[in-house]
Amino acid sequence: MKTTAATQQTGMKQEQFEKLFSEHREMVYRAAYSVTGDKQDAQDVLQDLFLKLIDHGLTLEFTTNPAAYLYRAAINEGRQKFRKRTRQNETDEGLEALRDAASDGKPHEKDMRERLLDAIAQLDLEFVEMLVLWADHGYTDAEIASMLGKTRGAVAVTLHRARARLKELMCGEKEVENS
Amino acid sequence: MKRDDMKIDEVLKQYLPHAPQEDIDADSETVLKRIREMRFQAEPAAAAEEKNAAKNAGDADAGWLHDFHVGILMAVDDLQGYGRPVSIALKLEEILEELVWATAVFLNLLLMERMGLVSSSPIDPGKPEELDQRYFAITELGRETLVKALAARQQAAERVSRPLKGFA
Repeated sequence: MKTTAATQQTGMKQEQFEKLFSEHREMVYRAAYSVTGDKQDAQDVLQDLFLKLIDHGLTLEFTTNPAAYLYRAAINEGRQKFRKRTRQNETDEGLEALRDAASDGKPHEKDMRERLLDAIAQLDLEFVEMLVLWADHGYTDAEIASMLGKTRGAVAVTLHRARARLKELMCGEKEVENS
Repeated sequence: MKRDDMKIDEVLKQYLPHAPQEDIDADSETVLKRIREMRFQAEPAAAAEEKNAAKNAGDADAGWLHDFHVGILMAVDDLQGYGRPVSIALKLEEILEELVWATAVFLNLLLMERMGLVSSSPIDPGKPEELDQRYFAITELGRETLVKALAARQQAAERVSRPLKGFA
């Protein structure tokens, strides 16, 4: 018979989990929400991430920077969810078109947000990490450097490249090449 | 839009989704509750509630469980708190390798929730009354019961495969 989670031993104590969860829940949720734009997806990322930690007994003692580890995992997991949802929407394109026509939301805003999220889904993970810390969390270059364990100069250079790449993706590669 | 027209910093600041603090607090509380139920002993109050439910329903040991019930618990457990009645029924079909009647699955889920073996929460918190639109998760009591049921089946299988002493 197939093994289920019920038969697995959990290697993390409840106190360890509660401590990790209370320290990092907000940052994980925020990161996931920024790259998915969806409350349910953010909730799913938060749950999946901590369940994985519990099931693998990862108390994060192996890393000197648990916040950076969880932040990266949240961004990664969130982007996967977004890509999956986008693929699903593409198959339901007809239905979506009907919903859009019926909705009284602001089409331009919705369009810009979708384009931004689409572009973010295609960016390098390192770029997204820094852009979200800068734009959503309001971190300075120095704060980003301290959180991700990089130098301030490296952060400034990466952020510059990230913005340029994001712009290319949002404006369409062809247009950029022609300009 | 042309590349030069776009001020990417403004776009990021204006359009990057920003989670409202009240959502962060409410949603992380929901997730915390779910994880406690799925992986640890439930909170004292919830644990007492589960115990009472089990008491009311008689001894919630694994003896009464048929393959169908064990399969439902396995399906709920496999879906890690994201099982809806429909997805649980589909998962159950995979486990039992036969077609199942979704209504029977749904009714058994409601019964198991009363017994404290599973718990459920609304997918959309604004519509708690829609019973078919709920996520089901296995509780600590449900997990213990499932482990017992699987162990009993394993023992039975071993007994059957072992030749009888002194026979033939």
